[in-house]
Amino acid sequence: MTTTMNQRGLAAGIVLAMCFTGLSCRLVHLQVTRHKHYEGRAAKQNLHNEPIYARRGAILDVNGVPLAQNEPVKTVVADGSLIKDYDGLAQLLSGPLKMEAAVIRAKLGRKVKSGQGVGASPMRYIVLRKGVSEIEANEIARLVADTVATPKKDGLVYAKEAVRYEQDFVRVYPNGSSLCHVVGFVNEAGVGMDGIEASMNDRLASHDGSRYVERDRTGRELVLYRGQEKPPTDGGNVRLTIDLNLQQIVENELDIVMKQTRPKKASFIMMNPKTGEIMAMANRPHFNPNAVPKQKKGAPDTTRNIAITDQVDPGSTFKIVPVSAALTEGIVSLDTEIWCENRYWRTYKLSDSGTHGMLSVRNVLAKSSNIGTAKIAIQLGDQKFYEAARKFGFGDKTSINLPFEIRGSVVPPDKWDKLSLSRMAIGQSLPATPLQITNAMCVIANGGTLMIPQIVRDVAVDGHTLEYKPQDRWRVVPQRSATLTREALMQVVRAKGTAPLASVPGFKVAGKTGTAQKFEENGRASHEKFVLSFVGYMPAEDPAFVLLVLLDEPQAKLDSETGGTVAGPVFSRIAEKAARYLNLQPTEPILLPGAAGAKGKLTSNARNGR
Amino acid sequence: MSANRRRHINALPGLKLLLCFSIGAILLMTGLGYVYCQNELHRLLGETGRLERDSEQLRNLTEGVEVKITKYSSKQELKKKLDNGFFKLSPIAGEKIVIVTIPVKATGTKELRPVSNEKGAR
Repeated sequence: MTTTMNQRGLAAGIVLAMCFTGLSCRLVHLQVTRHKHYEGRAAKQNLHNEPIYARRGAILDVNGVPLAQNEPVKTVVADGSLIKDYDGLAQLLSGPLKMEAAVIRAKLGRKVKSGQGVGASPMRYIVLRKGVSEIEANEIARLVADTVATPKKDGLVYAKEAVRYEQDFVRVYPNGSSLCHVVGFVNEAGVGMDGIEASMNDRLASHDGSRYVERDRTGRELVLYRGQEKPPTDGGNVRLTIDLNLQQIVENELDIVMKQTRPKKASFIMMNPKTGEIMAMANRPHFNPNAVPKQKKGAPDTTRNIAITDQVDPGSTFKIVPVSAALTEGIVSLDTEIWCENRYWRTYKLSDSGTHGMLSVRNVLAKSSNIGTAKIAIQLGDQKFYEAARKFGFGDKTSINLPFEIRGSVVPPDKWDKLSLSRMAIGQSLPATPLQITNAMCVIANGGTLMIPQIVRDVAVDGHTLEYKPQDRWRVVPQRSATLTREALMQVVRAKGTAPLASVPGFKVAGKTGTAQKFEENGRASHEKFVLSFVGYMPAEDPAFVLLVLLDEPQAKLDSETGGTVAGPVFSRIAEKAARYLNLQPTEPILLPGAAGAKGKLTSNARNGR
Repeated sequence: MSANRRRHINALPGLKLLLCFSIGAILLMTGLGYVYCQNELHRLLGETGRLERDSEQLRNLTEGVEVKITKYSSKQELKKKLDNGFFKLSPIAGEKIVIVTIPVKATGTKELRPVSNEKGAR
């Protein structure tokens, strides 16, 4: 009996032990061997990876005024599966969303086919509206919550969670079309497509962070169980060298001259010759980066920054190159007399706008003699002329920090014909960008150094500031040649020069006019289509800025179509206002308008100016 | 009490009991404290989460308002308002402008001599 009892007890013990051993093994299997697998499954069920939004960097002007910034907005999304009363919700949302109830109703009613292809279920992700402001989104959320709190008699018409608000950001350009070509714009994904937005995209771009969060049954986050977190990285703030006040002065005058002369295109550039900093840059046609226009076939592309992407013949503004190169080589001095063939040079089929006999080199520039300049270039020689043009930066990118810049073109001497040198010397057959023309004048203004045009002053990232320093490329001409060329250029804006209307009361101005004929499709020079320009600097002895005024093909019928009479006065008006803004001290006596001889003399000379 | 009666009374191990109760009480308090702390932790972290959301919302609202301020005070907008006659620029007459020139040192003495526009200042 005792034996039987003992045996039974033992058997039961063994069975129990085996059971527990089996359970323990299973536990070990689940908890240890398959730990990772089940941990992952549990995490999938309860954990959500939520984004932590980062901001794209702002673009600021030199004084810190925002040119591009981010506006936090919400995308209003509905979940069709949680809605019972579609009409009621559509009616409720139509007011705050500023949309017709019927449109919202149609969106809410969208269905998706089920996996098996049988029947359709309500869509769970319906975008009702993008770009809703934070305040409006709060208003909508309050409205929905109030309605849910006081449900209709027949029960809940829709759950509070039926309408969600997803965080989003839109890029805003507070100054609209002003400075549009420099600032550029971004695409829908927030990636820079043009201007600084594109060229500095790496610095401006932000990287969203993320965080694993666990939620309870009601959807509330259990902060205690927050998982791995990746912090967001905001983009850097890019500060430009552009001064919005100067930009405004330039753009106001540009708008006035656009109305008066109706050119096909226009480009104004203001630059600090000592540092290469761009102080203002404006082009027409332009666009509003807040609503980038779609490119229409045959219509001009308004988004193009023509200051760096279009090329024009610089015309007489190029004459500073052969003259300063010849002065450097010692081939001529400012007082060297040159026979200007009395208007027409048969050998090279070249003419001047006025009848000139003997002219000093100084007057060749002041009166913009084509024949005189061609003769100087011929004395300089093919190779030296070509080298000088390249040294001044023609035929090469300026390396400005803006996208899509083109090189322009300088044909090498081995491809020239008999007339090439005489034409290139006067700025024909030598396409250049407006920025290259401005930068070449900066060489004379700063005493002979070619600068790399600078548009970005600094980038601020995470409390650190990365400064962009002015960079020079190379010395083009010695200081002495630059000073001599400046002396000649100062004659241009005097009474006997081609641009007396470009003078600024109280200041010494140096500059050069340009009146380049455009070529017809048949290759002949047009007598109706011109590129009118004036590029100059002020004060001549210690320049604060170089300014280019360039008008491509004015359409309006003008009394006189020359750079001196059309672009010169615009230069004068801008320079005068800029001088006030920059607090430049006048160095010359200012003649009052009524002063004897002052006005009449200027006007009569301006008529003949070229 | 007689020795015979005392034999039938079970002596209570008071010290042991006290020790047991104390350990029990400590364990109980620890357990309750743990639960309380856990609840507080959840509540405070929940509060932290709510504050985080609020501050994020506030940041968004501030940024939105900043964008609006910049937009409405931009030169483009001001120019538009000026063109529409929303406000106008009125010229300041010459005699109303006070021109203060750089102070000139009086000759002979080293004192500063103030100079101001005789007509202008009123």
